Amino acid sequence: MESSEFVAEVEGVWKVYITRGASIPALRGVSLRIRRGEFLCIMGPSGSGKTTLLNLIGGLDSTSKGRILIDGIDLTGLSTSELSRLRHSLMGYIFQSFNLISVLNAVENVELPLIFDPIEGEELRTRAKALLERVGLGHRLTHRPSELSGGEQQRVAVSRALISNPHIVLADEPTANLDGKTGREILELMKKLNREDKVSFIIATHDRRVTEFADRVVNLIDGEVVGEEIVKEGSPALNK
Amino acid sequence: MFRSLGVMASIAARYLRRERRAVLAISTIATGIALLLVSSLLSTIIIDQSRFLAIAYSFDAAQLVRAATALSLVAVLVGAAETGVVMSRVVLSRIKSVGVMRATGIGNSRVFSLFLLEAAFYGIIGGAIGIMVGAGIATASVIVSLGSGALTAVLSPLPLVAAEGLGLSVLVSVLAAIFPTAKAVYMRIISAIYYE
Ligand SMILES: Nc1ncnc2c1ncn2[C@@H]1O[C@H](COP(=O)(O)OP(=O)(O)O)[C@@H](O)[C@H]1O
Ligand SMILES: [Mg+2]
Repeated sequence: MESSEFVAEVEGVWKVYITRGASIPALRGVSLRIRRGEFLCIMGPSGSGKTTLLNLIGGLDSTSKGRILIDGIDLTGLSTSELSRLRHSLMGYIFQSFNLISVLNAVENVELPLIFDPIEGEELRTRAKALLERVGLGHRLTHRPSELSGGEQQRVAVSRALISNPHIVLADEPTANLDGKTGREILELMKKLNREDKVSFIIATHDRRVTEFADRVVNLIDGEVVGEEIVKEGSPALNK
Repeated sequence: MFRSLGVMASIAARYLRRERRAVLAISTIATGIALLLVSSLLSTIIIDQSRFLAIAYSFDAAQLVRAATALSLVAVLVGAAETGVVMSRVVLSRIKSVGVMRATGIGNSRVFSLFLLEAAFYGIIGGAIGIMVGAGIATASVIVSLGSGALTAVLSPLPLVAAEGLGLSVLVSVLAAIFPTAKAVYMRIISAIYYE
């Protein structure tokens, strides 16, 4: 499985939401392959289906048609607990509104995904601290979310997403709740971790600045992929 | 297994410390258990003391005790309902967290146990307070009415009654938490994460 070139393959995926009799096609035949270590940006206006696509790749929701492979594993046939285990070992999530647990401090929030794993408490603590130091929060280890700024909370969330050494980190509008400068810092941080750990990042956003950091930008409109831009490493954004 | 339990206990304890609603649940459980304790500790004395009354007016003293016990059981049940309401509010306020935990692959059964454990803590604390208060009231009323000589007879069943009271309060709290917790844990993950 490790030999597969792609961490995620999206093949002809449809997602139709059915609410009160009305059916809303949020994704209409999306196909996409994400390489190992790629920093991919899914760009599109609000309502274009970015969150839906991310949720499907992340194994949080199921497709209406088509299939998704993660490390060569087809998510379609998996049971709830198999899916849960796959998310646990292969995925990390970053949300727009950080979604940290308010009663836990920074280190405990980072430890959360692994607290039930067969790993020594000491070792887990060391790993969580090391991650927080890498994201520049070594001095905020025991602060609770309410005592941290938005940027700091998102750094904690980034560390939490990486604690299990995932193959893919999915970030939905990670900069939308941050001011310009802080958003940029978070993107720089994610890019750094992407380079150092060779972990794939998929970032859904309508924020054009993200494209500056991406290896590739996929444009989504009305549930369809309408184009791709390959961004050369180190080059500024293609479109301004 | 034990590590899981330890982890759950420490998280539940953290929640407990910061959960204002807990006070309500704990105090209702405590009231019920205290009443239950008073009525069962005083039952022998009540029967004994009302013997003359019973002969004079020809009624069964045990009936009085049964009525008192029924009343305190009602109090415990009200405590249970209150715990149910409190737990559903608690769970509701944490649906997002439940979603995040489940997204990161913490199994449903563990998330479930986490909330039930917290409810059990409410039961233990509420039960312990209730036992102390109930034993205190029973002791005080015996000393005042009959003098301290009658105390040994009244307090001899205390260990058993206390154990029953604690068991009951934990059981009741956990049962009351099952339904609201199930709602959050079996909700679609994305609905939980984006719950407002
Ligand atoms: N749970 C849902 N039920 C019904 N419709 C939904 C649901 N989630 C999203 N949609 C609809 O699907 C479309 C795509 O939504 P979304 O994936 O959130 O787009 P984006 O993240 O790009 O803003 C929108 O029209 C939205 O209203
Ligand atoms: Mg969205």
